[in-house]
Amino acid sequence: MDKHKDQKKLVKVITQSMGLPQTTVELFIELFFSEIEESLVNEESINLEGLGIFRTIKSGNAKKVLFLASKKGNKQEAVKSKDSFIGKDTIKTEDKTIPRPASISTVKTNDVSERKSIPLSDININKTVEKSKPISKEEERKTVNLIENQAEQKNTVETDTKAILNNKIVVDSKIIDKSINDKIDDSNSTKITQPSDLLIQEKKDNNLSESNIEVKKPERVPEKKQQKTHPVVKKEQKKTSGFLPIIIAIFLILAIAGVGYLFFYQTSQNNSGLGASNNINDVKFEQLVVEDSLNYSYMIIPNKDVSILEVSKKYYGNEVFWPYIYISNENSMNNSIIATGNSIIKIPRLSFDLASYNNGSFINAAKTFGEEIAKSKDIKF
Amino acid sequence: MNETDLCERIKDKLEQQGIDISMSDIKDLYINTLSSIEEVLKDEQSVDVSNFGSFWRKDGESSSLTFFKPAEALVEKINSR
Repeated sequence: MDKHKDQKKLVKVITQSMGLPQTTVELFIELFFSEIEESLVNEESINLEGLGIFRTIKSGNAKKVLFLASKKGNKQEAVKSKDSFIGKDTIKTEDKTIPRPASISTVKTNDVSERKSIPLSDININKTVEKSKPISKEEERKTVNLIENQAEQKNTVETDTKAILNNKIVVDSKIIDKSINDKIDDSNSTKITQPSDLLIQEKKDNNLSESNIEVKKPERVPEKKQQKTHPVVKKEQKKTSGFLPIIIAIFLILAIAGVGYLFFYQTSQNNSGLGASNNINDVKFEQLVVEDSLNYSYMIIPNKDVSILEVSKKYYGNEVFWPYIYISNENSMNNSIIATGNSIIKIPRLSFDLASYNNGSFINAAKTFGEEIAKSKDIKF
Repeated sequence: MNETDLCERIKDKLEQQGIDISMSDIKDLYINTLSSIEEVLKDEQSVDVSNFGSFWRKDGESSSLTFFKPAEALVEKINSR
């Protein structure tokens, strides 16, 4: 923003509101700020209610301008203060309410008595100007002292920053020298005399990373090492703990399968009738007198249902010879291999000797004979 | 120095330049300058006074604060003496 515009803008606004000639307003504004400037040059403080306090302070060898703005409260208060500042007679120019000026006399008068000099007590400035909290002298002194101290500290900091930076760079240079000398040949090594050379060299050397320049690193390495051991142990524990449920599940499945197999096997045997007389020793046979001893060697009566396979095994030594028992008792078998209890079973005399019961050829012949009978009679085992 | 002293000085200087103006008018002028500065600052603009400095304002939740930066010419004048 152009500086002159702002000042001219102020002049325009004031001339429109006051109705005074522009030259007087310009002069007033110039004198206004020049007076403030003179007071600052003369090391005087100037307190302007509504704006703030201007004062010079010493910061080292130089002097600085201090401005303490007058605190403005809430926005509501600001609105109220504006209303109070406006007063009764107001003029609206460009949405700005400005008080109507009093009578103005710009004509020169030599007669002093005609000049109306209004005493200062009658002038109510405080009502028109926005009320701001006045700053007491003690508070002013305190703030000034604080600011001077801060300024001095800043100056010392500013003077020392260069030294600090140089020191830092010197410290870093020691570390960088090591890294640089390891990488750069002695013939090509540049003598680092000034910190600026260091900085330039750092930029040129692309191999240098920030990690080489940093001096300190956090001391957290041992904690990390400790942490490394733990996860390994934890992983092993996790592995072992992870397999246990799987093993248990497999065991349970196998157990259930075994129990189920046994259950279904037993039920199937019960259905086939063998289960009832699976153990041939439980069945009692009553032997009868054989009338036709040429054809039959035994005539028995079992007390329970019994499979002729078991009977063949008992009397022939091998269950393969059940077809011969079946044929001789075909009428009472009912196309099954289970002989009902309390029924006569005829054990036929076979053509070959007992010694040859275990002969392979006779066994094979008996097997085929049994298969043929099973097919023909539709016997289910 | 306070505002009344300032206004008296300004009035004396104006009279020296041939401009006769009453104290009330000077007070009004003084008030109007401050109010116009405040209006500009409220509009989130800065007021730049040549060879003096610039004013600007920052508004907070409950209050606002006016800042001032002196011009280099002013600082030089102050340090020259």
